[in-house]
Amino acid sequence: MTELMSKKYKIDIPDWYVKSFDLIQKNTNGAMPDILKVYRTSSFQKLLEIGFPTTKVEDWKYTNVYPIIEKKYKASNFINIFENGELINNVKNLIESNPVISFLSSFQLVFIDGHYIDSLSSVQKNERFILQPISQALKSENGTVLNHLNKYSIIENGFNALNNIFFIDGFYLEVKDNVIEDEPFVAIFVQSGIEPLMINSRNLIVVGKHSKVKVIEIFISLNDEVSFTNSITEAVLGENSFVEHYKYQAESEKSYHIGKIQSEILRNANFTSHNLVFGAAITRNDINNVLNGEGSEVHMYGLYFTQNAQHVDSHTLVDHAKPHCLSNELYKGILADNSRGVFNGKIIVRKGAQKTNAYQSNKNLLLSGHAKIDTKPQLEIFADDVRCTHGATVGQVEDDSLFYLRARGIEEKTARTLLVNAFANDVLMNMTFEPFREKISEVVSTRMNLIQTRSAN
Amino acid sequence: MLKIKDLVVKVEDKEILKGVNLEVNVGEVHAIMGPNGSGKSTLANVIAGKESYEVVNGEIWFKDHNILELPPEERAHLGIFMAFQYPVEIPGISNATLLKTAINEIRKARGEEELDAMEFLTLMKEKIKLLDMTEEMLSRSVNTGFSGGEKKRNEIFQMLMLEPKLAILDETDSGLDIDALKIVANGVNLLRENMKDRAIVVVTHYQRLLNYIIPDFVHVLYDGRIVKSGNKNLALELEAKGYDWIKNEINVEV
Ligand SMILES: Nc1ncnc2c1ncn2[C@@H]1O[C@H](COP(=O)(O)OP(=O)(O)OP(=O)(O)O)[C@@H](O)[C@H]1O
Ligand SMILES: [Mg+2]
Repeated sequence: MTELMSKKYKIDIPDWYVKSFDLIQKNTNGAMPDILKVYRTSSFQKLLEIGFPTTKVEDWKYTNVYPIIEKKYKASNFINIFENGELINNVKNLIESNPVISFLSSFQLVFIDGHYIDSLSSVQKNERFILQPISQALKSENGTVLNHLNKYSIIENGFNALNNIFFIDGFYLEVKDNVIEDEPFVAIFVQSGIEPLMINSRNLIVVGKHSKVKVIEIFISLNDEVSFTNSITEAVLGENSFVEHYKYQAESEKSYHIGKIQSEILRNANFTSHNLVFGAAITRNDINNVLNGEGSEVHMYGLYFTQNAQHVDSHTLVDHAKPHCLSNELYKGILADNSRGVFNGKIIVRKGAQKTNAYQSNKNLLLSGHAKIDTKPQLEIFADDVRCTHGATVGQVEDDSLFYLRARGIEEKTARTLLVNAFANDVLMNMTFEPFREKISEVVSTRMNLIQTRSAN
Repeated sequence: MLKIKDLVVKVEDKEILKGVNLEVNVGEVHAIMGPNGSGKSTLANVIAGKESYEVVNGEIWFKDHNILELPPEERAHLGIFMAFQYPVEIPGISNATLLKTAINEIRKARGEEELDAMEFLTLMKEKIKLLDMTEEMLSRSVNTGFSGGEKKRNEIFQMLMLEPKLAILDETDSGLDIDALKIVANGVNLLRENMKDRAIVVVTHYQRLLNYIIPDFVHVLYDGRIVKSGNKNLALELEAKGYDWIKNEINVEV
């Protein structure tokens, strides 16, 4: 544990971050593009300046990051995975035995503690698309990577700066124009848990005009230990393209997860995000979208199912920068035990963004009297011809529904699981990749059964 | 088969049932009538096992089980079925899922083998035809967006699937047009074809249902008590004279 220095809006950067920064500056080999060095240095200055947010910062009001910051991790930049054949083999077994992720796709990259593992991955490089680790893309001096990397995500907080400084690797997906691919592109990020690590991953998705793809990001842990994942994905959607993005996070309940997805959506393009959170002690996701072309759309679906003392904070942002755009959002939460959820949905409609349609809904099911949700819409509307609706609900499993099912002969436990599953399926049904949807639905039922068995004992 | 003794039930500190006695034997069809708010649904729900009602006195026996001690699902496993006056909408759970889960849990509880998917589907298709409902209703969420009449028919469809020993129909005729009423009554009469080890209780306000489902006994529940019992002619008499007639009779007795 470190003594933290804290001011009203800022937790100062603990020393070990500074030392780690010096170390990576020294160790950087010549292969790193100059522009990344510039990002790294300027981000470090920014990090020193802004530090990490306290709960006095409005956007972090309900999420206290002290437990994350006070721990001393090793930056995973300094570990060597490649010599640990046993670890790699264990991860291989984990992936193959996990029903949610085994055989999701033949286009798959695997990262352990942030490092790309070639032996578990299948890089794709053809005239239609490129899927490769971003480290390789940067080395190959692919102009598209440098044109887009770090162009959309701005530093909103210390964690974003941290990612710019420490990211090791991530996936790079480049889809050319007019490519329709049904097979999803999958990136699996595994925390080994062999020691407390800070793992920064950085991903980039660049999709050409009229193309249609699915991307799945998976975050899991090999061992039930402490680590800290800090991930950023930037996505640029060319005109008339359609990207369906899935993020499934089921990391160890001892670890911490900070994630950001930043999308830039051009004319008539459609970005659909599914954010599925089951893991980590503290999770904070920021899903930021800029509707930056007329006729563009963003659809955000979220499901968080928390138990024990888990904490999940979902912050979403839609920036209606152009007229005639649509944003549609449904986030649902199931909260058990002492767990806590936070939902903040921000909608900005810029001046001139007329004929905007913006819909937002957050619904929560509390399974225990000790669970808690803080939910808030945040609207900043500067145009006048706008249709915007928002709503939030907090409830429990309905007694009447429960009685109806039980009166038909269904045992109470099964009835509760059916009802919770139905609540979840209302948002999961928007996932078009059916095999994955079914598996996530099973994850919900399994967790619900476990919670009930646990509380019955 | 069903024996209710001195049943007193409270809801939120208000006494609703004030000492109900009723005996229903195997093979019989009973009708319970009575003005709004007299406690008919309360009685049906207490038999089915709804927990928000507080039973302060009395007993309910089903065969040789003291069912007040059993949770609703175990009562259903014994063969008790209530068609709800207000069927609940359950978005996200299909009719098929509800019935498959229910039938298999009931069979499991009775030590029988589960139905396989094909057998189950065949059974559902066969029964749903009897109620003049489309197969599309099977995959729809339970009662969700159903019209009033469709909900009532769906209750009878479930009843035919579950083949209960004791069926309690709480105003299943309300809100039905004459064609739908006939369909529902036919459904009930299908169950009636085999009354060996079975009994039926219909709660209704209207004589017209009893033209199709002819009861062996008619009871009048009034202000939490069964104040009068008779044969099918009692229903006709009620229809002709109204509940004021009962009210006056009671007052005379008191
Ligand atoms: N959950 C409840 N909370 C409060 N009061 C209730 C509740 N359920 C029933 N009651 C009251 O109990 C009384 C009897 O209600 P019940 O529904 O049993 O009547 P009913 O005979 O079925 O009437 P109807 O013919 O209108 O269906 C009514 O006064 C009703 O308001
Ligand atoms: Mg009633």
